[in-house]
Amino acid sequence: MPRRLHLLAICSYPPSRRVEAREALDAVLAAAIFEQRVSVLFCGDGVWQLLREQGDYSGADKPLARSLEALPLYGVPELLVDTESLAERGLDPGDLLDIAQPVTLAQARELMRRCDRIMSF
Amino acid sequence: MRLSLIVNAAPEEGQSAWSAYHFARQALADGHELYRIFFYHGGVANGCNARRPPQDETDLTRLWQALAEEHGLDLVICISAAKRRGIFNDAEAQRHQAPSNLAAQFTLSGLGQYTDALISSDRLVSFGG
Repeated sequence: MPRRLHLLAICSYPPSRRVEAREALDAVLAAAIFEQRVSVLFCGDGVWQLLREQGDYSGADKPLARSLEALPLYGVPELLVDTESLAERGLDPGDLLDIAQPVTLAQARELMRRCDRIMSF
Repeated sequence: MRLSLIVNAAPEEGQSAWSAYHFARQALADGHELYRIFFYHGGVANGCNARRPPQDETDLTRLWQALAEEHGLDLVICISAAKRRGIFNDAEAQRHQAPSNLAAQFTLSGLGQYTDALISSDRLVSFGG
């Protein structure tokens, strides 16, 4: 796999879809390991994954937020969140983990146009 | 055009897996190349040979197998998603002391196959999720 592309992963699973949200993260990590540039955009109910304070009722599993916070260490520094999705849910960027970078819908669209491939989860 | 598909839903989970199948057929009929079809999330159930839909319903697993046989398709099931949902090939079944139930024509492999499909195809089309 010699080519280096810019991949955009769009994550819209709420954290209650624990397995799918984690598998989406696994796909992002796999792409990063294969030395692709990966940006992640959280939108729709996916923005809840980034909530700073959230209960975890799933048992003994590692909280998803801790894994998201580790993404920059694996070469995925761009964790973007759609501000319109936040507003629709009564959230603001201050409610989210520090690593989340708010983007407007127009900026998100521009990113979708600019990247080479979109992974939709 | 060289296409890859990712199928994220089981046959009984809405329309997505069926849409993927019909899309694949049409793409081949239109002369496109299908580089890989990757099954992820609940979509791994497409490659389970232990599914038994009622007699008056079509079995999508058989349709995938027939299409793969006819066109030599690369049907890849994500190994970690499959193990989580109880789908094993012979080797994994032996390793985990579980029944072997991966349908013929499907192979178990890792997420690297998904990344490779992303990079090596002109378009990746996602179904379900």
